[in-house]
Amino acid sequence: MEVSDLSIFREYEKNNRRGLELVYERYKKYVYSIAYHYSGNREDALDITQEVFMSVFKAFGSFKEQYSILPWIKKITVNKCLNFLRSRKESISLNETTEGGDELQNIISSNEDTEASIFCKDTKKALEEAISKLPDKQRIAVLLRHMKQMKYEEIAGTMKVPPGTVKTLIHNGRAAIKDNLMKQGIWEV
Amino acid sequence: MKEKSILNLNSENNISIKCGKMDGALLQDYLEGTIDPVEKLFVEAHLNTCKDCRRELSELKLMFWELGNKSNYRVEYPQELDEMAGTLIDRVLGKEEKSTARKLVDLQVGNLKGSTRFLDYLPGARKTPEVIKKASRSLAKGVGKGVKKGVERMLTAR
Repeated sequence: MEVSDLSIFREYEKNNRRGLELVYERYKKYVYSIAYHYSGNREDALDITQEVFMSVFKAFGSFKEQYSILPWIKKITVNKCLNFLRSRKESISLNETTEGGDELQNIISSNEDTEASIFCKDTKKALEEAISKLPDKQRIAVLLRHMKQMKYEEIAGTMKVPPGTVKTLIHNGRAAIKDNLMKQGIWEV
Repeated sequence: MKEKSILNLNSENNISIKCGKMDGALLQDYLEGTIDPVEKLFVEAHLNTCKDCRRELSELKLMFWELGNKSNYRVEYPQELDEMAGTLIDRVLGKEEKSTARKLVDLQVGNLKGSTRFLDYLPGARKTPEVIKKASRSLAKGVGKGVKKGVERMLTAR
């Protein structure tokens, strides 16, 4: 059942646990969907979602009820996304193995199936891949604009950067996505 | 030359495209409807004469369509997403203190589980539910037949 932010605050006053459960219930899909498209995989998306809600829960008691919860959660999600992959990238190495036990360097060097996989790929996968190749800030800006239909000013507030920077990030991100989709042969243009 | 300077007004973050006379960002703004009216006039004039930019515009249109297509962002939500709420809340608030009634119920459930555990080690005990089912089915059949016979006898006696 969908509940309003106000009723979440009322519930939180009566029973902290129930209040936090309602916050989680209301916003878990929103956070997870951004985290998933940002990180490109389920495990990282769950880790990011976990980090976001830990911050939300810890600070919820001091959050003022006259503000709405969503913009606050968006800011935390964007922050956690950008910081999560930054720390992940620092520790990643080509000798790491995947779940299937293959070393990353072997996967990168083997391209025998590349051609076949291009033809089998659907547009959704192709777009996911193109988005995943964008630099972190471009990726989050493009996702907020197109997946969450946020306005430039709103994105600027959420990412704490000037609106002009948001525009540049999105323009460059789109240009890169278009080139990538063209290379993947998605359209017959 | 004049056209180049006007179409590259946003040259600070220029996105180069094939024709070289147009800032790619302007074409994106044109499609998104966020373009300045004056720039729009020049973009339209340029599009009339430039095949490369018309092609670029078609490609951008397709990309905008894909980016705006909600089904491209459909996500499967894993079960863990529902399951981790309790753990996270426990970490912030501490473990939930159970009420006395809840503790009693849990104790009874535990007792019941313990008292039937020996069934796991009885030979054939796992088949008990099946046997009971079969037995009840045959019993129902038998009872049905008995009743039928009784009714028939009563009718013939009349």
